[in-house]
Amino acid sequence: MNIDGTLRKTVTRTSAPEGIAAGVLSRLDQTSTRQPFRPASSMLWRVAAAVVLTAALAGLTAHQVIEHRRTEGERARREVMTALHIASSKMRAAQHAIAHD
Amino acid sequence: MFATGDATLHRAAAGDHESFATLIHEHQDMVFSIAWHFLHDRARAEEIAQEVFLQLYRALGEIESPAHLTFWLRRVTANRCIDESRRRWRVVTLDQAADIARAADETDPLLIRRVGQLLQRLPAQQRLAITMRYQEGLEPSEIGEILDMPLNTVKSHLRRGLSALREWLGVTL
Repeated sequence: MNIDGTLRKTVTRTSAPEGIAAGVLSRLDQTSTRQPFRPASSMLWRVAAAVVLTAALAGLTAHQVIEHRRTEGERARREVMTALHIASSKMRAAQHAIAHD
Repeated sequence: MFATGDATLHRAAAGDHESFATLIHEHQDMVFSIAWHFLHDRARAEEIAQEVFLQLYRALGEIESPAHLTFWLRRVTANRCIDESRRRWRVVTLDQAADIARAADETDPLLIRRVGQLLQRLPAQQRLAITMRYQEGLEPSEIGEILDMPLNTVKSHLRRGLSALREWLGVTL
């Protein structure tokens, strides 16, 4: 018996089952429709997140500036009132001294 | 200017599914047969063929010519078969091997079927080398390129594989 001849008859190309191409193309379609996030939309999400973060930081900074200005204004008002109070006391003391002279 | 095969390959690489289907039809017998002779399992061989062509679709941009495509398909199919053999272990019993010895005619359908079963007893590398040699008619040097192994290793796998088959078949040559 010739082992080479037997193997050539045994290990031959056989016809593939019908439907391999259809199966492959079907799986390709499923793969392409199963991807909700493409690079472009992922980039949009990143830009949107960056915009929101920047707006939040800007709002916080503006709030701190306004609060600082309000505190400064309040302190200035108290100083003016103290000065007026001192001036008024001095004025009354002077009027009192003149009246008794 | 592209030859017909080149043009089909070029269009498939550009995303034309019809051209890709043509490529599949041209090569599916080769891919399926390698997997079938290696695994002796039609369903799994068909599944592997589909996986190989899906992998091809993702790699179409790297394929340079029809000859490269054939080489690529043989190599990827061989690698898939090796991976598959690591996941499962098929056994052909010694009783089946003994039956073979009774067959003597190389055109005997029973003998051919039995030899196909006996191939499953060979180690994976020997089985692949024999499949590439007898199914695809490749020279040992070409088998070495596909299986990524030295020429002498391929020759050794072929020699040992044939020797084992002869022994199981009770053949003296």
